[in-house]
Amino acid sequence: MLSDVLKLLARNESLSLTQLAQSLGYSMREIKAALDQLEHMGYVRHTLPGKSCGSSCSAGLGTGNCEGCSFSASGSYSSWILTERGKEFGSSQSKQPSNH
Amino acid sequence: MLFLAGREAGRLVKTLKIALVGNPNVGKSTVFNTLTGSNQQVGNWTGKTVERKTGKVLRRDLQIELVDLPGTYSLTAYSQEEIITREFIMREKPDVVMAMVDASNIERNLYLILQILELTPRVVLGLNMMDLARSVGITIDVKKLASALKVPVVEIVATKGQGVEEFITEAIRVGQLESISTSPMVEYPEALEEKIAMMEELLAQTVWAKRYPLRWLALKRLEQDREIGQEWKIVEDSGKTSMDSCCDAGDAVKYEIQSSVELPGEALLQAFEAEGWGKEQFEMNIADAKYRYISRLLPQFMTYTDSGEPTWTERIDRWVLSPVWGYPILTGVLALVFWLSFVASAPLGDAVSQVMAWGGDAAVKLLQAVSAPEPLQSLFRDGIFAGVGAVLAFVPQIGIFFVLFSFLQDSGYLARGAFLGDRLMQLMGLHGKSFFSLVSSYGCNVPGIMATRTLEDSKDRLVTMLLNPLIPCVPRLGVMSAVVAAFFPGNWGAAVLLSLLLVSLVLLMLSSLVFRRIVRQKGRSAFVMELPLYHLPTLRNVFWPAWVKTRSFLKRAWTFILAASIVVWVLSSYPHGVPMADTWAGKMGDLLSFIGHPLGFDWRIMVAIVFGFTAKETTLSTLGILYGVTANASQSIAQAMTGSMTALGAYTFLAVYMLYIPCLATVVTMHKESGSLKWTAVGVVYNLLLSFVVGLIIYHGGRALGLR
Repeated sequence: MLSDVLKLLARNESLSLTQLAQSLGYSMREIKAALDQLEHMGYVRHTLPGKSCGSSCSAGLGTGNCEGCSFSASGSYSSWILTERGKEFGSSQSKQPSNH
Repeated sequence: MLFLAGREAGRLVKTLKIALVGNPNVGKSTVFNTLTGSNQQVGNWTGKTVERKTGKVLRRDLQIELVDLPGTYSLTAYSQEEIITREFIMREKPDVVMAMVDASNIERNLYLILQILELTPRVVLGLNMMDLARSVGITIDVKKLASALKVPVVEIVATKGQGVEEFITEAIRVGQLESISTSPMVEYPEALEEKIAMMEELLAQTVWAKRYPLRWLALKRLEQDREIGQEWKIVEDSGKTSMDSCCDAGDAVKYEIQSSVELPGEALLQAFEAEGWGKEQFEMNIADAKYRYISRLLPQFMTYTDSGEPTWTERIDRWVLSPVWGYPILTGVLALVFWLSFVASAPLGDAVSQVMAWGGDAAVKLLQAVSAPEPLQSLFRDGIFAGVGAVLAFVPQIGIFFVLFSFLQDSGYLARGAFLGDRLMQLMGLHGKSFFSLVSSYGCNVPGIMATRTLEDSKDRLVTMLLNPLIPCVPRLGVMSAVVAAFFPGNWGAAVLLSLLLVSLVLLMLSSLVFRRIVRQKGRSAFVMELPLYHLPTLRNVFWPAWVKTRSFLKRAWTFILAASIVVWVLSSYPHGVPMADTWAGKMGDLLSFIGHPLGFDWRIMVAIVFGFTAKETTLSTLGILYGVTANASQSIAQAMTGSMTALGAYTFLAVYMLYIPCLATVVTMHKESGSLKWTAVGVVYNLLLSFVVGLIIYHGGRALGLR
């Protein structure tokens, strides 16, 4: 499951959580747990755009971390991005057959 | 397991050591506080910054020492919390582990439980947050869960204290059992099981096998866990009496590494490595097998009501995220936003212009009434009201744009737009995260450039930073919309704006290829995005952010734009009494005519472009002053400009204006964030050259096609 997620992401194709769950045949809750585990192991990084937006960001004059602030004031969605470690591991795994 | 601790009030008192374990925020502290009350001590784990809490619980003839271990997701040596929890269970060997599980996130929580069960079978599960789980449609059959994991399970609601007494009672029962049978739970893939067996065989005869469960030891050895093999010793501290364990009395006991021993099996590990089974492969496969095992266990005890019919969100997403329909839908939505913002709102802009014109007239009449000198009247009429009025005229457009933007954002559609946008990033070879930075730039390039901080790779960051100014920010879009309204009235306006945005996107993609080559950037990273459910936006979430952004825009109009308007008025009014073309502004325009002529721009356009460097809105106020606008700003600009510029010239101006050097604040931010004057200069020069070349192509290409 974990390695399958990395393999899919190593194809350099971004996916929604639903698409990822459907591709691997797991529930979204299971995939979310797997992504959290992969983050814990350092293979993906979890980001919450807009979470750290302050009032200066919303005014368009941000001095802090204003990632995505202009279109995500509530931080209502998040993403997991493959790290370098994840990329290397995923690429090496994609050469092997899937366990799923 | 059970120790006689002495006599208390003539009664035999026994002690029991219990560890309280669980993921962070699972409600452990609530249970700990309920059980221990004020009878607890707080300290730090020696040499660590992680808080530890111990407390005493008395039940009949039992004195229980309850240790609240740090919240942790696993027992692998990734963090201090994990090492401390693991060390305590391994070295202190508690009589029983009270493991708490968040029922609403059971998939994740069970991972830790499986790891604990590999260390000790003396576990009681406290299933917390069942109320929350039920509210999201999860039902867990407690008996079936107990049967699947082969451990007792108690349902609790920690915040209400419900089930806590049953939890500790069950823990006491398990802690007093003489023995508990164990059997391996997680089945690993065959190839991995073979390697575990080989390692077990090797380690079976060592002293370590007597201290830890053999299978667990073999797994840790295969993972090359460095903490295994370390010998620790207890050192007494500051004259305090050492007691039975590390946690009896605050910081009474300290651990120190005595020696670090290399466990046997190095040759075997090297042989595995040669087969492609290194540390990472073992770690991944072991974790992977546990998650697969959890996935197989779940249906035995859990039902999730959301697992049937597709939801509305899923149905809509089939179209909205479709590779075929997604982009036409996105284009249509953006076209509607631009049409509503910049075309349908034009009457509102006209009304603001009228108000500004009346204000200007009233101010001049007032100045005439007090016999104010003529230059002061001119400053108010031709400088302040013309300049600031020209900017304020498109505040309704900006406001409506922000309202629509907030609507899309709160409804959940904008996240889909961002997701579709990543496929464009893929074409450009950009990092998925770059998309957030670039989309932020549609609001303002400054936060857009700052958002590149989240990119780990310095080359990814630099390329994204250099591309950022090619995204037209809202002030630029505002100026463009005013010029579009002047030259392309009616529905054509939205089409022209959309075509310009497409030009900027194409140039963004081409520029990305150029910059990636220059900085020799590596490949991009993909991402998984959790998209929000669609819902009807709330009025507050739509209008409040729109108001905050519009207010900021208004603030700039009354401060920065006002000052710039005065400067432009001075430059265009002096030397006094000469035609405007001979003023300082006219001379400045003359100097720049060698750039403007090939593009079909007159000197006023060139001066407006130069002033736009200070802040993009200034371009419009400058045009307002130089074209002598005093009333009904956008229409007057239209009338004045159309006299000296054709539609083709206006389109060329729009393209050049959209692409040329970013504003001063953006350049300063780029320098600050890149830390390089060289790359800042590269960015500025690139934008200037690109805008000039694109302008030449549009202007001369259009003329060659017979356009005017």
